[in-house]
Amino acid sequence: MTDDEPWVEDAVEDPVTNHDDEILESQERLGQALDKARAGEDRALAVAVREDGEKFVRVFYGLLRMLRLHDLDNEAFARPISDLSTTVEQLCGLLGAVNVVCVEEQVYLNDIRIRFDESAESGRMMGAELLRHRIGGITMHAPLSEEQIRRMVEIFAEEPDETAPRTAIATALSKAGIEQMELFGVFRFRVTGEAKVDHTTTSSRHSEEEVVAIVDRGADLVEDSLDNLGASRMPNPLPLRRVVTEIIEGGVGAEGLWDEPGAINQFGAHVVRVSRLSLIIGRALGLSDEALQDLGVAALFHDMGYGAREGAVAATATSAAIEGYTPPYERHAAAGARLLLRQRGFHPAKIQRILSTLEHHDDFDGPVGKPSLFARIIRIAEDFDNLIRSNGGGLTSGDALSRMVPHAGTRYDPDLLQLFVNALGKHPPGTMMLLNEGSIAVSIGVCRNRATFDKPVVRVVRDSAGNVPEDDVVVDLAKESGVRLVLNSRPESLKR
Amino acid sequence: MSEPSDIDENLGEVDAGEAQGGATASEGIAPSSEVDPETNPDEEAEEEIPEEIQYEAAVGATSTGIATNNALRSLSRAARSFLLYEPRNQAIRDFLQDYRENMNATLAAHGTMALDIRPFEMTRDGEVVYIERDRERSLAFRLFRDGVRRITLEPGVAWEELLRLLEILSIRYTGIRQSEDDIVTLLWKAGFKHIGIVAVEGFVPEEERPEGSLADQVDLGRVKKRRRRPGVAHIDAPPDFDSPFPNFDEQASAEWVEVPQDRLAAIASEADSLHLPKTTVHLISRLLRVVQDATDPTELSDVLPLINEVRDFLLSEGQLEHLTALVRVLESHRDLNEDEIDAVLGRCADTRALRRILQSVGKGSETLPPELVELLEMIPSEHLQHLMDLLVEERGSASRRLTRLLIEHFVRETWDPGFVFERMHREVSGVLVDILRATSRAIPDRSLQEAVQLASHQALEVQMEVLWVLGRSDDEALVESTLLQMLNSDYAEVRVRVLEYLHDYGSKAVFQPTADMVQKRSTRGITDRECEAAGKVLSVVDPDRAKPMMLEWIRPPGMFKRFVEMPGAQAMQRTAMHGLADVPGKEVDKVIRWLSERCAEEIYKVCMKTLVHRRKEGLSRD
Repeated sequence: MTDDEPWVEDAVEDPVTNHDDEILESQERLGQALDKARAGEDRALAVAVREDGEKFVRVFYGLLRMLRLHDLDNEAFARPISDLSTTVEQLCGLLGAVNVVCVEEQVYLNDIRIRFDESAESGRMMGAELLRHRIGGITMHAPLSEEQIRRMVEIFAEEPDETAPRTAIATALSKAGIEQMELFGVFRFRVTGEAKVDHTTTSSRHSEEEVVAIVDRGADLVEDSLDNLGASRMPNPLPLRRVVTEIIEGGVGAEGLWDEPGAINQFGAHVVRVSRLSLIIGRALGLSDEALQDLGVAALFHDMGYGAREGAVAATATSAAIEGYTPPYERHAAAGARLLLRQRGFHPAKIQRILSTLEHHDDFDGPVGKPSLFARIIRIAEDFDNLIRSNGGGLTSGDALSRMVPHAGTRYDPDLLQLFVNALGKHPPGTMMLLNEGSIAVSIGVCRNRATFDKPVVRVVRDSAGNVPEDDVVVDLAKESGVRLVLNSRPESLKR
Repeated sequence: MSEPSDIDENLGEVDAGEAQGGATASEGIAPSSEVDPETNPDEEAEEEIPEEIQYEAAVGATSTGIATNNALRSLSRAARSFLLYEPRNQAIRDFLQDYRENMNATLAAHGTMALDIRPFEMTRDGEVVYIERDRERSLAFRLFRDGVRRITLEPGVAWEELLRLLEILSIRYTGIRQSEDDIVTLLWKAGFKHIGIVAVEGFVPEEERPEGSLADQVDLGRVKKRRRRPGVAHIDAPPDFDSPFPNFDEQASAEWVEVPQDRLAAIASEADSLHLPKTTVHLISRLLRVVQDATDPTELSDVLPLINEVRDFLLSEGQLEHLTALVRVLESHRDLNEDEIDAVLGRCADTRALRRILQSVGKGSETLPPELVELLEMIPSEHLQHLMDLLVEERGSASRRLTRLLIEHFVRETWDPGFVFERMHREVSGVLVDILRATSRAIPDRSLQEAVQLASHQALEVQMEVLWVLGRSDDEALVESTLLQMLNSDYAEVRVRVLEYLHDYGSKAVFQPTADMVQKRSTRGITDRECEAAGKVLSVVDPDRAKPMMLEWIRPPGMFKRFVEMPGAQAMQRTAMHGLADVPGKEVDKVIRWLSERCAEEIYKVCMKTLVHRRKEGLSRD
């Protein structure tokens, strides 16, 4: 006993067993991991989704079963119909669009598996009911009134159409004025490694289709997220995370990734491109797949501030609601962070996401200090895309890059910007050029290595005679031909 | 395509019915390959496992199957143990050890373990090696419903990986659900090298060309018209989003330049988890700056939930430095809302927070880290109350030491420590002792007064602590009177220590009480140590009185007492011999020799030893 220690009996830690240090450390570590996981848990959301989700399925299936025995006019239907309407309203209020999927006897609500009392069999039976109509999932984009619930149940209780059961249901719902429901076909689980597209062997046309589908889906999800956040709902990163995973797995610099997907969804398309460009920098930096995924998701959220409604006031008994207005440019970053703060539960990805949203317009050498890594990356990606997009700067890719380079070290992290330059190449995707043999081509790939910095893969858009090629002609300038002249125009200027 | 995820209704709470229910092996399971208990070496160990966990059937037709079953049941038990016990309970260590041993032994003996996961069972090479039909308890069911279809464990798998697998399953068993990760993501992130997982990645349409609403969404053209969903309020970003752009008049050629790898690595490391604590504080700082901006509608209430999450994260990681930085940030923004900020700050230093901090700081720390003091001093809180609460709960020696040091620090700074002593007197002995030790260092005079009141406390450790306090005091009169009071202690250790103090510092006034103590105790029980110590005290404090008295103790006056051993005589003789050991004079030797001729063996030895000592020291002469 030292002078510092009181006289106490020695505490015997393990009187019976003799656990080695490894076990003791493991126990401590597991305890900490559980604590950490609990800190990241949004218990309120979990409880709400679990309880309301279970209730939805139980009541919905219960109504269908009741309808076999009683007329819908029966008073017994009043309470469950009211319950179901309330439940849907609560779920929509919390989650936005409510997506219910039944697959192999499991029921998922917004990708969260719902558990049921073992004896009730509600989940399995509801799946069976939907399967009669070849329906695997339904999405409710908005609450349903009691009358709509009544009609919906009636429609689902009908005998399935022999030829196109799902279409019949969708038509019936539409006729009944139930526009906010969407129906999906039957699903099955996909196991790891199954049916993956081999990008090294499939044709570029096939890759392009996939890429377009991924990008379109991503753009739609961005718009959905904007709608949800603008309606004061919770941010939901999971579906966006999946899109990012698809992009990463497909190869961040995959060919065909640079065509603009379309004119309607400009904002969504911009956000997805920023995400892809960010992933290019992240990959060049050597970030892990996990960090890349977080970066891609953060980039998909970076401009969500435009979904905020400043000045909005909820309706009261005596006054109507005030809709509010979109935050101006100066405040959209902070607005985005504010919207993302709604998500509960600590998670490193959330921290990075909020911070990068907040800082994504900050200068590298700005007065508040160096922005976070993700913010610096997204800044480069965003400025580049803002310069090249048709409703932005409208510049060519090469022009945009050349105008960013002088700001290395001031606006942009110089090393990250250089990685970006190295990755895009001398003739970034979208650059139009006149080839040696007189054809006009568009760069469609990122830089593969230093040797091919100025020799990208290109697609011929006009042959030497000025005609549109009949087939898809892709030329690797590292192997043949060469650039005679870089054109100062954009691909969409050429009519198809 | 979507990825399935899961909600588990346990949500970290123990199901009382489950815990008490006395689970048995699943009904209806009577595999013909059930192991013969007489040959199952694990049966004894099985009986020690709590009933709540002892539920899965022992299956396996071959030695490989049996071993695999043992390993899997160990895994299942370990994962479920976090549902039933506090994370730091000893039982969990037992389960971990069991899991490690069984898994390693099985892999070493039977090679790669390739398991097919079915809804309620697992098979290895077609043999059922695990079965449990109760959905709540079944490891197979949990894996299957979370999308896992096959697990392969290879020999040579490191404990690190086995632990990580257990961690993921434990999180799932306790029902924790995060909006960012599901089990497939967690397994993917684990980056296993010796554990292979085949899992579902989500659900995909079964039909090649689905009818209904999906059909009109499949458009392979380059321009796609997005279908707006009716009945839903839509938010459109303004057409001039991200405008105005900064100036881009300057141009420069874009050329390839190699970026040094070390610079890239440094940048990439910002995404590491090691940087996360610093990043969280940076985020809070930035957000509070936004809140401070009067033109921005962001309010403190928007940020507070995140601040609490960050605080809890830093606490759970034991990040004292960054926690202090967070507190500094919050302090600098107190004007936003003092009450709210104080509430957040308070939870940076409540009992729970302190426990975490001290557990992480305590290991290897002999002194009080200055940043810990700085942290606590920044936070307005009832530190002393929390610290004393911590002493009640925390028994780790390192944490307790730091807690005492902190109490010492804050007691010095508090203007009225009365409540500390009030609390001290109400506490159990272990906590009382810690508080008394801390206050004695901080305010010794006041602590002495309190210690004196505890002189006759029933607990040994308290009495010993009182002695420690007395030993440091200069108030001789009070110390001596208290020591004399403690001579009546029921504990021999206390009495010995008292006698040792009296030997060093006692006045003549202690002679008689000491003699009385020996005489009283001689018939009730007095240890050899006490006799020795008492004898020395008597000789030192008043040698003139001691010698004749002790000589009488050895050789009592009167024939009766000489020839009939009186009760307690041996103790008094022992005491006297120790006391007289260093008193010069032949007379002493003579008396001791007289005793040696008629005493019991034990006393004889003492006599001889004393005589030898005296001869060596030259005390046998007048």
